[in-house]
Amino acid sequence: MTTTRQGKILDVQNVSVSFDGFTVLEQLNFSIDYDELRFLIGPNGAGKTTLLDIITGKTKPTSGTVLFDGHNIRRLSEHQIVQQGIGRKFQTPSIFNTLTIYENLEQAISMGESNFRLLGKASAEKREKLDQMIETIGLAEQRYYEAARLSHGQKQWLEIGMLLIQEPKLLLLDEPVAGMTRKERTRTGELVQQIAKQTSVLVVEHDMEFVREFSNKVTVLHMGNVLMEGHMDEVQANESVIEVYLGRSRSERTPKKEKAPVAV
Amino acid sequence: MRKSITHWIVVAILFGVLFIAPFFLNDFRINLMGKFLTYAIVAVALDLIWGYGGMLSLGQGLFFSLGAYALAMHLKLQNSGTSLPDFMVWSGVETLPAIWAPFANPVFALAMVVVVPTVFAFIIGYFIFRSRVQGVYFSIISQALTLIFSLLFIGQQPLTGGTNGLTDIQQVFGFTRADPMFLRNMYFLSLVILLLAYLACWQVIHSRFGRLLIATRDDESRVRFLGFNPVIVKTLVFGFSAALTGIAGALYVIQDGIISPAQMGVRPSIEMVIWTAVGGRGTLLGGIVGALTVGWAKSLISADYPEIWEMIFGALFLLSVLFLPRGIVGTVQHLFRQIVRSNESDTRTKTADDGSTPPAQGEVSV
Repeated sequence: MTTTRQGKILDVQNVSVSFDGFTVLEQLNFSIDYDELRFLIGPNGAGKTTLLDIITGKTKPTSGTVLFDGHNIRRLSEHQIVQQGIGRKFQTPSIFNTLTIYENLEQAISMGESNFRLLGKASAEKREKLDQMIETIGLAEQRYYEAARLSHGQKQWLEIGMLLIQEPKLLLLDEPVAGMTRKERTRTGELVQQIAKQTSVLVVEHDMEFVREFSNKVTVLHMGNVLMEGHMDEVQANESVIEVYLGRSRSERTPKKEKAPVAV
Repeated sequence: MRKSITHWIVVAILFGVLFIAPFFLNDFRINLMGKFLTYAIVAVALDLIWGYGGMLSLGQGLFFSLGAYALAMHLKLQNSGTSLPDFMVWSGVETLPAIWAPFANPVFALAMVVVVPTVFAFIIGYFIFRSRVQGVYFSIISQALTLIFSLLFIGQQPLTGGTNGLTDIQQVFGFTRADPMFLRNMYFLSLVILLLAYLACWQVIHSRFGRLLIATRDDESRVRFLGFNPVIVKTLVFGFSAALTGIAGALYVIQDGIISPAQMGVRPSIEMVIWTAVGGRGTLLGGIVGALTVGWAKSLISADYPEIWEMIFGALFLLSVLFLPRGIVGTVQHLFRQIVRSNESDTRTKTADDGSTPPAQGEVSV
């Protein structure tokens, strides 16, 4: 991997979150390096989505600090955090159904322009970039279709296109392969690895097969805290991880293709 | 392209008919139509925020009245000459209140027609939208606001003329208001401003900003995560709509000669929503068609059945909501599209196939 900068792009320090006295995250410390591809797993209720909500400003932490690219983003609102360079892909494809494919991407690339400028056309440079992206995600033929007419997979691609065109420094993907076919999953995995060469990526995923195939470093979240971090082999061999999470499915523990699990 | 050309042809026909209409109408009807045209401006402005922005404002009467009062204050001072306006004399006011003094200046008054409703909408809108109040809660707040202001205007008799409002405006910038020639000119002025308002709204909707507005209507949270601030988008559009509505109010008062808190209340505000709903929400053109249709129907029914016209009117509205949920323009548009589609059913099947084909692997993994 070509690392442009050393150190942490994201540093979540001692973050606690509680809703009505119920603690979701407790003194959580979590960080991602520049140009790193990180996978986040954990059983339901572990706080994965809450952690994404904290990073993107959707939820404000009860205490703690969130540093992004050296700046404290804890007090910024959602759209300001996006403008700082954090893109988030939601679990369900969230695109604008009543707009066309082209308009969806155009909206994404127009980020940061003043509302007055938005009354005019996008610059030629941006339109060119837009045309390239529409080719990349393979929707050039459907560019003037309403997005509602796309298939589930195509909607996911469109949304990823909308995120990439904004050139985020950190991309958060929430279950990107949910509902995808095996072939689509493989392609998505390859795309994620491609993206990770230019930007940091954090993937929340339930699909263990997918994680095993494409992950390098995995963080396991449990009860609002980091249970362990490491390579998927180490994670799968870890007794406490097996107990809280992987233990529910024996086949997950002894994959045929993998090397023998390494004890931590 | 074809869709766009059809649209401009319809706009040209509609405004063409409205342009020649005065030559076939008597003076009374021209005056009536002139006022309906100001209603049409209101309905178009409301469609911008409701149909495209998802903000169902039940308080547009407030902005309409604020615009109307701003100009009426100036006209009232002009009509009173050197003495105080009549209602102030009746209330025992001896010196002109400070808030009235600058309205002696026509330029100031005309500026306030736009400034007061806009600033009001900006302030109200900003705080409502910042608190992420949406949907029906926004509607209720907007309705409460207009009710509060109508009560405020009624209560401040020495300043506002109370329940009667500002009445008996006979002279408008040196012209006699009741003069048929003047009313005919005001009809054309209203028509031109309606056209400009329509074109402005059309331009807004078909810009990137307009698509951001539609996006905000459909999924506000997604707009935030795309790096835009929906609060500002909504506040700006709400303010723009209020500005147009205020201008419409001013155009109304020079043709009617009276503005009172009754125009500010809940009922006129809901009537404005009916204009847009009957015409077709989210079609822009529907506002014009709706305001004119409802206006005409109302004047015809109320002339023939003065006792029960409100009931007939309510029944008509109910029927149109039940059987024409898209409104007049929306229904015509829908039928037109179906005809076009059935004519091109072959091409449609083809494009539908394209839509479900996943992208080729080579293209996507670049």
